[in-house]
Amino acid sequence: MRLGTDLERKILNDLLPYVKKPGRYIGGEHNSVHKPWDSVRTHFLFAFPDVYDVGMSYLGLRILYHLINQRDDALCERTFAPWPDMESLMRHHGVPLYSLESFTSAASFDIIGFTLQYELNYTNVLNMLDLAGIPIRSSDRNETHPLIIAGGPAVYNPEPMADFIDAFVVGDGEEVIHEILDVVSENRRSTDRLTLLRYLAKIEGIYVPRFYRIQYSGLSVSGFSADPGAPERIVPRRVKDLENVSFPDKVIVPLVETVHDRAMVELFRGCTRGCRFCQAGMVYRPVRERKPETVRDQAISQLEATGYDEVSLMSLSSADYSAIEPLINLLLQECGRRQVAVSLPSLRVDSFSIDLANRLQELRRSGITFAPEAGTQRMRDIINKNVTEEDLMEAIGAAFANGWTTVKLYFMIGLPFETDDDVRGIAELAHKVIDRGRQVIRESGGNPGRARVNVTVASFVPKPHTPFQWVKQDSRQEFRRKIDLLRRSIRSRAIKLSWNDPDISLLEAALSRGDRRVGKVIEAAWSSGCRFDGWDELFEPEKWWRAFEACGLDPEQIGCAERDVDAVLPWDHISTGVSKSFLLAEFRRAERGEVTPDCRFSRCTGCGVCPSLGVSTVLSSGGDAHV
Amino acid sequence: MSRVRIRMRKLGRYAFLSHLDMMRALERAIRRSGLTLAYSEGFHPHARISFAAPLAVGITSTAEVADIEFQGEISPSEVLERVNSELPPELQIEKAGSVDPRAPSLMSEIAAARYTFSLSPGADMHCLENGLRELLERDELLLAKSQAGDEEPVNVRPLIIELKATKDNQILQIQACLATGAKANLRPDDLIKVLREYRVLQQDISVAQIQRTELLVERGGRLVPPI
Repeated sequence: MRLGTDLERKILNDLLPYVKKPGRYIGGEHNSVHKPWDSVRTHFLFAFPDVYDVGMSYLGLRILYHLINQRDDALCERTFAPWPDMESLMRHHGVPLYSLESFTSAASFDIIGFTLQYELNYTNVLNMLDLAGIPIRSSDRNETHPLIIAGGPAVYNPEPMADFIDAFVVGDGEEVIHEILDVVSENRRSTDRLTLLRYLAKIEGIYVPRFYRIQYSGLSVSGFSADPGAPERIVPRRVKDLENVSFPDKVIVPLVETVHDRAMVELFRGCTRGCRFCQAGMVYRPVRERKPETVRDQAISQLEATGYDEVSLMSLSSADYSAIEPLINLLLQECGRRQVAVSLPSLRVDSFSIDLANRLQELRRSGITFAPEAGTQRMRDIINKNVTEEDLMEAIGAAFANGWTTVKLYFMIGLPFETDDDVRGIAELAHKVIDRGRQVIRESGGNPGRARVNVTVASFVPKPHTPFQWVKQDSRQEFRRKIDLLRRSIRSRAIKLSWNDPDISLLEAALSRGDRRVGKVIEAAWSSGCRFDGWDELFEPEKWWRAFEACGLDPEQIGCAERDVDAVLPWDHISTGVSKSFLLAEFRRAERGEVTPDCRFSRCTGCGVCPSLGVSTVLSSGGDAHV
Repeated sequence: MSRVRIRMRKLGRYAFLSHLDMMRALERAIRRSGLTLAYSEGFHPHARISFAAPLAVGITSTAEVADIEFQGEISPSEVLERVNSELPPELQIEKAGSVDPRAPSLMSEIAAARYTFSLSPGADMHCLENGLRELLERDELLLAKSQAGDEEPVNVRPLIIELKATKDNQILQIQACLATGAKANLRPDDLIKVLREYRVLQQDISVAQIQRTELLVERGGRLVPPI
């Protein structure tokens, strides 16, 4: 059932006058694509399980929207999670989840593709399916329902969402999306759902959970079998060379302000710095850079097509881009006369990064952020964050000397092998930073009283597919004790401390390390009203703990317990290309406090990704990187 | 440097954009058009675009007036043509004209605005006409400014310049001209409050749509459009 203009009229007249930020729900943005519904065979709805302002900031949406709409036989429209005020009006008026382009009900599409960026969006996925009038469980859906697929970083452990998603897409989306559309376009109207899923399961990188039988014993997998025709192990998709995939220029220009409201170009994908806590640093390997000329051309055509006045150089660690200096020279020539700012979202902790930031942001000087991640050298070696106190002090000195007066520092607490000295080390480091800042400001004739340090501590969550996937997570009590210890160790009023809610960290751990049994907890939590769990103001931990209890599961056991290194883990059948033996070797090195260098600047570390996925590191300037 | 005054519409779904959203949308459309905006000096340069009178979210308009400053000389017709090709039909510029760059700011000159309130079915033309006439005969119309009632009600009668009932295709409408601007201002939703308070509008009649149809400046004792 398509409703189109009737639905649009109802939403505009009866709903939007009564919601906060109605501009989130109207579509109509420049560069949004409106294809006649009947002009294509396959209708794809990109579903982002968070609000518009967050979802529209996501680069992956821009890429896939553009790729699908380039096809003659398919269209891609968008939908986002409605904020609770809008949701309740939609339910009251019987308005289903709809697409922003044509105001078509979500259930009319052939495929709904969710991106799972973050575990705390899971209840929103269920809620959006329910708002669309689609059964939330995969097993309850039939040929009349859209195919529900999901990609994004969280699918490296898909099991908690396995009951709700028909097919997961693991790895880079640019190539596999076409293979999926080809199969769906050819078979959706002629075959039954199960057969269609069998065809999809043959595509590399696709995981159809209903074809797998998994038994658990405690936290480990005790039995695993795949149906005939479904692969035993899911190999992730990886684009070999980013130069070969197209990048959008006519990106949608939101009408309401979004979190990252600017043009974005992607310098490279992957990171091999090897921080042992970092999932992104393991699952997107190896580093594949675009050429600086390509990036420049993409930046300019995107700026011209959007009217944006800022372009952000995206990657996991942009100062590591091997051609960063030539690129910035190219961009500054173009951008100065266009009133365009260039921003570098992830700064490395060194003075080189400050020089870059200084050249880029001369006119827009607010806070500057560094992530030393840990307070002591011992701890930084354990996590393989190759930053010394000297690097940090040099970077801080350069920042304050260049006019910044507020420095933000990111740390984690609850890291493996952490002692109270490491926690206090965060406070000590913050004091050294403020002292250094005051000294530099005084030397340059400024008012040293203006120096500020904002310290943010996140609770460490042991993520699947990292060298720390086996370690315990601190209990909530332990996190609170450490936060308290840190608070008492901070003496200066120029240092401001903020931290995460330990309840959120526990839930994040339980959802990211959970197995298929956690699905019923997610369903129970959603039924009891949980939505937008990543939003402090809407997070209701008590509902979650009751949902776990009702399902006979213990969140502390799933989230916090140490895992046996010999056990089969619930996510072991999803490969990232990095071998488990490498992760274990890295864990052992962490135990011994040994660091592992980046393979871009040193020899191969043997992580296994290049031979297993047939890829290799691509540096645009032939390995001439800034170490 | 040249200053161009535009009058644009804001219709349909775009009524739900805030004032800031409109500023951003117009600035980006101009940037895409290739015309060169003038920017303010300082750490955070911003485009020199100023709308005459911010419109509340949810109200449509055929009279959003803004002044835009460009680098170099530029003809208003070129602005109209090039920027319109970057804007949706509901946000088109309908008129553009040159303004002396030294003229006083548009915002400071605005004195009044005309609105059309379209009523839901069920209202009676005769009752409405009588109600509006009686209302205008009063010397004092009190509006409670705050919900809590902790502020003195204000007399808004002097802020209502014109008020009359009309009919368009069986739909009853109220045409209002209200004081608007920095010196004296009556918001359209406050007029509805007054109409309800004084029983001109019964509870079962809702206002289906509000549209701004004109912005006016005072020139020699007369209210005239700024463009």
